[in-house]
Amino acid sequence: MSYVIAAYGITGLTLGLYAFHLLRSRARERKTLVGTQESNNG
Amino acid sequence: MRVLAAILWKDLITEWRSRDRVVAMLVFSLLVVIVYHFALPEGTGPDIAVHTPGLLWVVFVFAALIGLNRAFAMELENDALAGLALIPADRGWVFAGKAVANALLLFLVQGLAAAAFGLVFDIDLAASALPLAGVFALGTLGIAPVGTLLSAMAVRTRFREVLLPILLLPALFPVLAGAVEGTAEVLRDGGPSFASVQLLLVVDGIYWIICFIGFDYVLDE
Amino acid sequence: MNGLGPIASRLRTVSGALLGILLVTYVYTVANAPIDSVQGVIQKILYVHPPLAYGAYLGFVVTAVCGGLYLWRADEKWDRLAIAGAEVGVIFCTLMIVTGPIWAKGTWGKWWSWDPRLTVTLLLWFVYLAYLLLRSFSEGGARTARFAAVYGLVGIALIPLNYFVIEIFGGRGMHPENLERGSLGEGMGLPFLMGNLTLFVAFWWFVLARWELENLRALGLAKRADPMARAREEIA
Repeated sequence: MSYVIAAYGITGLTLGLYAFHLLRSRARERKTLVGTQESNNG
Repeated sequence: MRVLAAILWKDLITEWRSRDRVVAMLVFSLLVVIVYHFALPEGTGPDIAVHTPGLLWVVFVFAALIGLNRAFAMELENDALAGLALIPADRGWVFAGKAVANALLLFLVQGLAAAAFGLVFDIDLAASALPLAGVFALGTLGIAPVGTLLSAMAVRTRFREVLLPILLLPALFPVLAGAVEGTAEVLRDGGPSFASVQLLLVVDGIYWIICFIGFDYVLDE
Repeated sequence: MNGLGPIASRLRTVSGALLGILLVTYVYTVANAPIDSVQGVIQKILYVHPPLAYGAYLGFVVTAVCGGLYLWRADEKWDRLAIAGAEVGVIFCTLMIVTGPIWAKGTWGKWWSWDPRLTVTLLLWFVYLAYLLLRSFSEGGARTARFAAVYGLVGIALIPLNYFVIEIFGGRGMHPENLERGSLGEGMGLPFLMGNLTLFVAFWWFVLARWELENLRALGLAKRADPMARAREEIA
């Protein structure tokens, strides 16, 4: 049973962290993008 | 085709005048053989015959990496890489010239390194010299095209000497599998089987075609 | 982003929502799947290991195809999709290489065997790791994109060649050939199907999200590098 939990745990954790990383990076990129636009306008 | 001959001639002449690549490859190969002696103190036992093909090809791969690292570094240092890209012909022929030169150098080193290996580990390689040379040549013709293509890429990156083996080694599996098996068959049965020769021919052919086309996108001004 | 961007973004949203539903069903069916009579509970790893393998290979196909499209069309958006394919492919491949030995340790009693299929997949993993290293070791721009595309195509050509090697020399594999077909017992088909479906959708969600991120980065880079372009855009 511990093997099964390990396999699913590692998979879930890795993919979860990766998804989190992607979403957070995207939010950050969006923010800097908007920031650049504003500074250009101003 | 004339471009191929010109590039090949240029590379061989340069190598003949300096001899630094062949010497470096040879010295390194001999050092690897000596490392084998340290790593396998019982190397002279009956087991060595079984492992000879694998051990030999490890030497060859290392020698190839040493030689390939210099294949384009030389051009880059002399600012000749842009010149090569400007040759008014299909760049594939530039690639072919380079790859044939690399193959010839490696083949020469293979012969000498194998002779040294046979000498120190007391294995009679001379008895089957001809079929062995055939398998070595087929293996080399598989290493040379991918090696030349990836060397042209690696030379344009940081840590080029580190990147080349990382790029090249996983791509060599089909060639090495066929070459090691073929070498083992020569040592065991006196000649390579149809299967390994067929495999090597197919892999060599595919590599040459892919790399011939791909090189066009690798060389730039 | 000429048209493809919004579609990709919408696709990602849809697949994200679909993924939520699938994930719940997947967990439920796996938890309720019957215990294998021979292997015991450890057999449940097979509801995650093969689907990861499909994702891995799919990622590498995406990389190679987009690399080819980039070389053909010289449009950077294909190169950015190729990055997404390689990165997601490497992650799926890594997870497959991790979950496989966990199952093997529990069933065969050892972590690793030089089974032909395992060896070939490991080699492929190294090829795409090298692909990502090649990208990060070169200075970026069109040259990196071209190098990566060529290497991706070499990598995809290696898959049939490696299997050709196995065909000729291998043969004696320990990998259960019939895992995917037939050998699934009563009630095991559904969780297996759910695993494939969930990870398939998850794969595309990751690729699309990664692509979007890379597109945003490129956009930001272009804007930062050239504020005048922005101004010209405003005037026009």
